[in-house]
Amino acid sequence: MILKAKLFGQVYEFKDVKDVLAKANELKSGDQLAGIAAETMQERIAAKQCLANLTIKDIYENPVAPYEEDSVTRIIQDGINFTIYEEIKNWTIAKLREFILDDHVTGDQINHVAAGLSSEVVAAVTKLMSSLDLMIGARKLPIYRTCVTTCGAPDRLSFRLQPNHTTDDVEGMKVSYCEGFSYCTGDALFGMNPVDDSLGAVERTMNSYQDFVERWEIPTQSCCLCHVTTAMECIKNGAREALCFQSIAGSQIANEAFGITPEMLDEAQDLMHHYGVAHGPDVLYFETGEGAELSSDGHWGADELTMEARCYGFAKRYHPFLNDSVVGFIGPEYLYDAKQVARAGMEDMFMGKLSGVSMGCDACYTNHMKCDQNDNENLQILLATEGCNFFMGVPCADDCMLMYQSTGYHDNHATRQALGKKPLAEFEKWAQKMGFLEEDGLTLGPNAGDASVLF
Amino acid sequence: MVSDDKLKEIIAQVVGEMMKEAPAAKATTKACCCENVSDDDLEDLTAYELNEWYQVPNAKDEAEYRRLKKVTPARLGVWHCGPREMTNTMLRFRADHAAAQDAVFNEFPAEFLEERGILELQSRCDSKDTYLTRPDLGRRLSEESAQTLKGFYKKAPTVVVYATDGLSGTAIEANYDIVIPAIMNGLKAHGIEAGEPFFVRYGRVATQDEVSEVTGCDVCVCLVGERPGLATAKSMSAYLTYKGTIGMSEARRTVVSNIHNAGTPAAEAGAHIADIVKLMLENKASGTDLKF
Amino acid sequence: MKEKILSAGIDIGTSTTQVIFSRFTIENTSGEYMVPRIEITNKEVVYESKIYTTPLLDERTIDEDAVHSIIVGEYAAAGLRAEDIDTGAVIITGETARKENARTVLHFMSGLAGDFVVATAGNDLEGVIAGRGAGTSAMSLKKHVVTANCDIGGGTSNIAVFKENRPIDTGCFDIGGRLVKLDSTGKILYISDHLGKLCEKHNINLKVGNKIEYKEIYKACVLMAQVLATTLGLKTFDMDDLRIMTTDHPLHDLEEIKYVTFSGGVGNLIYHPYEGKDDFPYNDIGVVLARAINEVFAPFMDKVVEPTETIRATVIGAGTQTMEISGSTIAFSKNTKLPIKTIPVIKLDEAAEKFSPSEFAKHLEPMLEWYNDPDEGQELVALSLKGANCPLFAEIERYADLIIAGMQPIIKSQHPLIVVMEEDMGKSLGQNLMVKLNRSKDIICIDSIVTNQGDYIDIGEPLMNGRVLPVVVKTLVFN
Repeated sequence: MILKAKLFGQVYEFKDVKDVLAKANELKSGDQLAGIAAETMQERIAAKQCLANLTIKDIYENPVAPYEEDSVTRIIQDGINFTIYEEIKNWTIAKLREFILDDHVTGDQINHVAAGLSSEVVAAVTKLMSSLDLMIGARKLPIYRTCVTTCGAPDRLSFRLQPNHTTDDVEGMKVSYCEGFSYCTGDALFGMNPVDDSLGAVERTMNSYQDFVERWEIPTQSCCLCHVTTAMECIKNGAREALCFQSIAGSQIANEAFGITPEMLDEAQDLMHHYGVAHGPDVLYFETGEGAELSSDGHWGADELTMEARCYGFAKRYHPFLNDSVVGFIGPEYLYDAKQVARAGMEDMFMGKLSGVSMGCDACYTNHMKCDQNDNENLQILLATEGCNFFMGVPCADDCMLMYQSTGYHDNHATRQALGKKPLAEFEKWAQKMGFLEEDGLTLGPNAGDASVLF
Repeated sequence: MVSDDKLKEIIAQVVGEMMKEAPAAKATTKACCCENVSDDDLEDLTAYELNEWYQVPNAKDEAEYRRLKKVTPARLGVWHCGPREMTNTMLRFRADHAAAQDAVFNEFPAEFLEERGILELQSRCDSKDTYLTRPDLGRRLSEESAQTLKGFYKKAPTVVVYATDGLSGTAIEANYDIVIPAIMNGLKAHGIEAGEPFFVRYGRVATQDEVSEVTGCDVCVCLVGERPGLATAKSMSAYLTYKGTIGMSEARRTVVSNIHNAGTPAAEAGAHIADIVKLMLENKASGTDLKF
Repeated sequence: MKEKILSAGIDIGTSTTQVIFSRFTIENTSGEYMVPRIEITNKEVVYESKIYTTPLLDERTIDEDAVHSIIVGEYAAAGLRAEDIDTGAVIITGETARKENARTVLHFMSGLAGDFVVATAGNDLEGVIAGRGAGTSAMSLKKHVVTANCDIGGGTSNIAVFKENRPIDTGCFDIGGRLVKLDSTGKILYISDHLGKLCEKHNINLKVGNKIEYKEIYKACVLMAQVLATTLGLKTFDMDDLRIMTTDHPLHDLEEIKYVTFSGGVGNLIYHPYEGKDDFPYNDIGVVLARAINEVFAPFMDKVVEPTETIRATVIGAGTQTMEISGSTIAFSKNTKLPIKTIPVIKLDEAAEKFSPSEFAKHLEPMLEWYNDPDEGQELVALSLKGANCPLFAEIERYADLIIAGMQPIIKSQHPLIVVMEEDMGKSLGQNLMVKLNRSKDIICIDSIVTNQGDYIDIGEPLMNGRVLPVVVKTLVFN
């Protein structure tokens, strides 16, 4: 294993694999904050060069968090197919990149190899890929998942209806989700972030959402984004929902900061299989995001991209219906501006797919980030083209509760139109029956924009 | 063929709808008909309460739509052109975002401090940019500022109240002149002595811990501009600590957030803060240690 | 933080006596990290007594002992003791209130039921309480229309008109089911003075000692129903009859009333006519009056709707609708003794709030003088002002200066300085008053309470760890 590279006659040396991975990363403010980023542009490229020549084995054997101390590392390392690993362990990361991009290599062939890759290897190859590389690679890897309905078809694009309210006001949420459905948003899932995370409140929300879905026979999956322990308690009490939510991270320390253990998620999955309203088998919904591990001091000195790849390695174990990369929420100290957010979004999409995880993205930004709605719309088109399964849907892109901007009801269907992607199949039929969508599956119907049709 | 009556009906309907779309329709008419419009008559897109701004034509149940819209600050009942937002909706969103970004990225005006004779200190950040990307530097006073603060009070005041721009200088500009005298008045009403307020540029909340250590105060009140949402860029928070120290647990801070005109009015918030200070001094505690 | 308080409502009417207990949930509904916003989030009636006939010793005297044992019995049945009750109202309505022993009854009642905040209410407030309890007030808000409730009991009909859940007018008439009382043979034992005059004018044959004739009394009841239809603005019948039957004042014909509801014992009979053969089942004229009202109001049936409560309207109103709570940021001196009851309110027109302190004082002086008894000295009064929305601090100081200049007689007296603001500025204003008065004067400065000139308020003991004060606004006069 050579931890050196020469560029323009100058030799760059790196401490260890973790150091190479960090310095090979595209510029991210979070890596600078952590003090692990490349000092110069040239050092960054040198690190990429060094990384290109490392083997899958080099990377696999040097996980960024120690096997003995980190449950996420254990899940990732133990979770690969060792037969396949033996076939490919001597490939360089450069070769892995070229294999993925080869026109004659199919998605199935990539998936075969992917079964032998640890998350650090997934991160490594991502660091060698440009935007278009990520695009070409990701597009080969459609991921289908089924909960109540099925998502993942490349000619379809779905959205999560996120009707948040500052005080969880029942009527305030109602007008929001009725309007969202009328704009054909809500086929991926129908789920709000509660302000009040108490048992009674969550149970009421779960039941009222599922009641609404049943009353109007909407082919979608209901979900309340409370902590997994709260959700389990509610389900045990008889509350009804299709998807169980949790935020997850790429290290044990960071997961502990979220108040979760792997066993907890096993239990949630099992509970949903037996008591959820959906037949599944994919009954969990995760959220991740670059920078979360650094913000909870659980990054083990590794860069935020690598830690994000580990989230997907961890998520894979639970076969989630959806995994949402909340890409622009964390703030400029982790992702500085629209450019860094866009890069992170594209990386996440590719890494998730290579890890076999059904990926969506909350393309979003906060007001202390150098980013505006034009940037966000660009990102949505970019990621939808890359094969993102779903985005968020909030009224006019403004989430009045979480105080950030995401993709709006009006952005979502426009993205479908721009790319010729229709809503999920069953939802398409429903929206047409309700007059929200025309026969072509792309033009909004006469009732679109009138929430009161669903009052 | 469309009959005359039918045509009249359609026209009446269309005109009716145009009348309903109040802000947009009015704005366009005025802008194109009147060349010498006075400033007072200019439509201000941001003057409309969002929860009253309704423009869905021929909704199945308009009355209920309007009623429900009132209970949420979300941008609803806005209608559409094709899959996209109406122009007024799009511009209002951009205007609100512009106000938010200006509040974050514009420098806090030095004149504001000079006019009022307020001492200006600075964190270890040298620019807005550093402030945004280096929370560690924002949490400490620059060495020069720490020195200045050391000599600022003759003896350690019981209470120190100061402001910092944080993520919204606009919030401090909007609330300072109300909330500071209200706090000082409240403390006076409780017979509590407080030091003269000052300002810290590029400060984070935790800067207050160094302020507590340097001044030796018992209670430190830090007024900080909140990260703006689209609803308002003028929202401010107050963080209060009892005998704060550098590196102390975040749980020891008591927070009063959402101080702005549509939240808690600044004067009442200031009076409330003074009451909390009194409680902290009586209980010698702050944050989760302080039960009230 | 949640606090549950128990409220009692007791209605001792001319014909019936009822008790209810209800539980209020008071909660801080704002986030943990925000300035508190304390609200009554739930009201739940937890116990309803049966409807008793009010025990009387004779026409003019309540049977104190019998009422006492009814109330004691109901407390026991509900499993409650007097000290469990935090608030509530006892209302002695209709003619009963005018009876000599009402005061005595109230006296033993307050011993029994802690700090009751409303006592004899007066006709205007009774009408408002019944209209609130009936749900008519809430209907005006829900439907965005002007509504009126006509509470017809034994002795009086109290009408209250509501707009957006606020009372805008009241009127009271001597019209009720017990204006005539009969013995079991149908012999007339008693006729009220007003009804006597009405009968005399219209040559209706109704005399104490005679056997009652259905045709005659029905005629009288139709005339009374017409008085109600006249004052409600449905159709003008005889203005002279209206004057004869008026107790204090009729309605002021301010706004067109969209919906009329009826409550009280007779009100209940309007929606649910008595089904028996008998015309005088209760030895009074209630059933006949209800029939007459149904006939007279038949052309206006699109305006008459049934309220959520009829016979229990007053007691529900007394138990659940009398108390409100102040804003959550207020100021009051810790050693002020609470509760303070029946504080007269001086409410100035808003223009006066723009005056200079000396002008303001001059403006206020004659009003304060009104409460200055030559023997007793300055009585306690509260000053009520609109205030400013999101005020600058200079505005707070300006208001404090006005109040100090204007309220000198109170400041110099032993009474606390009580200020009631509509806008959210109570705490900062209160603190400023404390500073300006050198922290030497007891002050109560509350906000988010709307009052009118001539109202009285009760201020109860603090709730929610001293954050808020319960307040009852007793509106007695409408203009």
